[in-house]
Amino acid sequence: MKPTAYILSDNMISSLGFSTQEHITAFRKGQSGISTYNTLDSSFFVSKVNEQRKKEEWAKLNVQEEYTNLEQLFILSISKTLENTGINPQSKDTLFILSSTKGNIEALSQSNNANAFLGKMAKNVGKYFNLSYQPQVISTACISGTLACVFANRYIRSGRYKHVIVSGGDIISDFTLSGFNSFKALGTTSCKPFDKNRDGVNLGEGVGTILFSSKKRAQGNNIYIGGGASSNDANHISGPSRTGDGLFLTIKKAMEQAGLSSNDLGYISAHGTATPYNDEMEAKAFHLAQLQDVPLNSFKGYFGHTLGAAGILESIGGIQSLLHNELYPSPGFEEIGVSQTVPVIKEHKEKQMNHILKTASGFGGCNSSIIFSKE
Amino acid sequence: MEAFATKLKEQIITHLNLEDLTPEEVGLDDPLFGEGLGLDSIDALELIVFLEKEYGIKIENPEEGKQIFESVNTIAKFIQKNKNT
Amino acid sequence: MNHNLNITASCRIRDGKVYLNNKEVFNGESSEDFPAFIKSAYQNLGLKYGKFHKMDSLSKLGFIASEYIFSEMDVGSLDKENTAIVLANSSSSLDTDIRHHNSIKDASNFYPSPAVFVYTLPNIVMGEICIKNKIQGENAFFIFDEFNAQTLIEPIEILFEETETKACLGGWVEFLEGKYEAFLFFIEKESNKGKLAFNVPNMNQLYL
Repeated sequence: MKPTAYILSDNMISSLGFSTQEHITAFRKGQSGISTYNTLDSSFFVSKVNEQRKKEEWAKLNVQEEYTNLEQLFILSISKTLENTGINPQSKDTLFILSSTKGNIEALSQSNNANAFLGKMAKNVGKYFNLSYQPQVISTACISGTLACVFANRYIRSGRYKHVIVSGGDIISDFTLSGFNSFKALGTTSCKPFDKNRDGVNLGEGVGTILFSSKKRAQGNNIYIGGGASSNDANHISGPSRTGDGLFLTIKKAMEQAGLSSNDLGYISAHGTATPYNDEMEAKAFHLAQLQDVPLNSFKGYFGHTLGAAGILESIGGIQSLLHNELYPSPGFEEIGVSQTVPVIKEHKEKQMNHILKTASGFGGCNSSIIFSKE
Repeated sequence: MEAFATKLKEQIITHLNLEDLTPEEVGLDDPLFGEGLGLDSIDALELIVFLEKEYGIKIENPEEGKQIFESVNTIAKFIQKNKNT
Repeated sequence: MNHNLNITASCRIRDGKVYLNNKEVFNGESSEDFPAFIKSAYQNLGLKYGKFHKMDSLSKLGFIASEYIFSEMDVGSLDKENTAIVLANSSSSLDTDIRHHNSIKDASNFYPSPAVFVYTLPNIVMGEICIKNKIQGENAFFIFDEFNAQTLIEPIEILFEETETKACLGGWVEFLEGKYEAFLFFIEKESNKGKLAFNVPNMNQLYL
């Protein structure tokens, strides 16, 4: 019998707050943290972490050493996740995985760009926790966070590690805003995943952290990873697949690993970037997997596309849905705008569930799916 | 006009890194996308950057690009029409 | 742990030379820089693949290394949905990140290019290899400080243990400001093509 990867604790940091509980409160009200932000002679709709709040939270840690903005967010999120768990991150049976797409990319504006290396960022975060090893870094575009959870499951199942701390983060920068803008991929309003009038992504920033363990929570209410997979569309480096077959392949593999059929899934935390092509592709993949009747939402209506954090923040959102047996509305959604219809959640309601699915897709044609199950 | 279109063709080949093609292989009316030269969605966006950078012409809506970018000749005509306005 | 995993092919590109299965197969030392060298390797392979010229340096490097590996294999016979790609490097896509950064740092010369920006992610090279060969299996890109056989072997072994993966293209592909190195290898389960076990000493031997 292989070990199982249980969720011991988690933390979310975004425009909506610095704890998972603050996020749940916002989700129940359908309250979005997206607002306008001026830079590069333009105004963008983004989701920013509250700077004042971050300073206050950081001051509580009483740290003397210098850390970058993103490193501070990582340290805050990981510290909050480890609180009261009794897990010692320095022990040999614990692995740290960080996921990020651009890390400290703003360091390119400095004379010495050594901080722009993702490995340097991982080393700095590791140093705070006195790790004897360097945290592993996964940087696989927008599936980074989901993939980090998928690998956490594999590391625990294989018996190599007892505990895996997975933390994903990215921040808003002129680098990513100008790039997505050159792709004409940014939304001109608060994003509207799966809606008829959706016109693009809102970038977001934040950090999400999950502590996985082969040991269950003593207080019960255990959630574990049922299965997970990744794939490549083998079609185009930036355009989503026109068929959804790559994403479908990961859903199929994840469900097979979990031993589930389409009737077993209660809810999907979709990637839902609100670009015309992504949401269309995802809807097709859900139909291919016969999940066309499973309610879904996109957390990007709450805190935008947080890139390397997205897969983890949106997994935690899904895990909270499963834990509390409730569905959270998908902000920005009014009328279905994909050719193969899917039931997007409009209002907060209760639903008994045992299994949920989280999906992600990204540049480079990559896809990833993960299933969380209730014991 | 033809001299301008020929110069434009060379600029496009360089800008889009179409190194396997020589200017002679590209007809001024050949379709650039799909079955023609096989340009893709990134090339279309890159052509928008190219027009702005080289000729100071802005295309705000990528949908407009579809007609403009049909062939080297259609791009040449579009530039001639918009350059001095 | 005995997985019966074998290294059935490997390719190393370093200092203007290409080694396939530890034998030098192409010498492009006379090329004046990386773009000239990698283009000469492309020509040496006899490829006619227009997308190559649009790739950034990291993608060109990884793509060419993969083409040398696949040049001696029947790619068509692979189980495409269960062939994985796991790559790693230390500088991510920093070389292209710097190019994108340079295109936006000056407001009077602000021309971010979508064709550059799309390569500001290290996993795009895996996308390029997948597109060329129609590979659809597991994809993961890791960042490590330097090449280390042990840290690279672990996530690949896990794929064979925990998923239906039958083959995996793995390796190290690094490019920053003209300095480059690629070391790619192909791992197969219970293959009788080669008997070189997928382990740290063999990997270090091939990497030398």
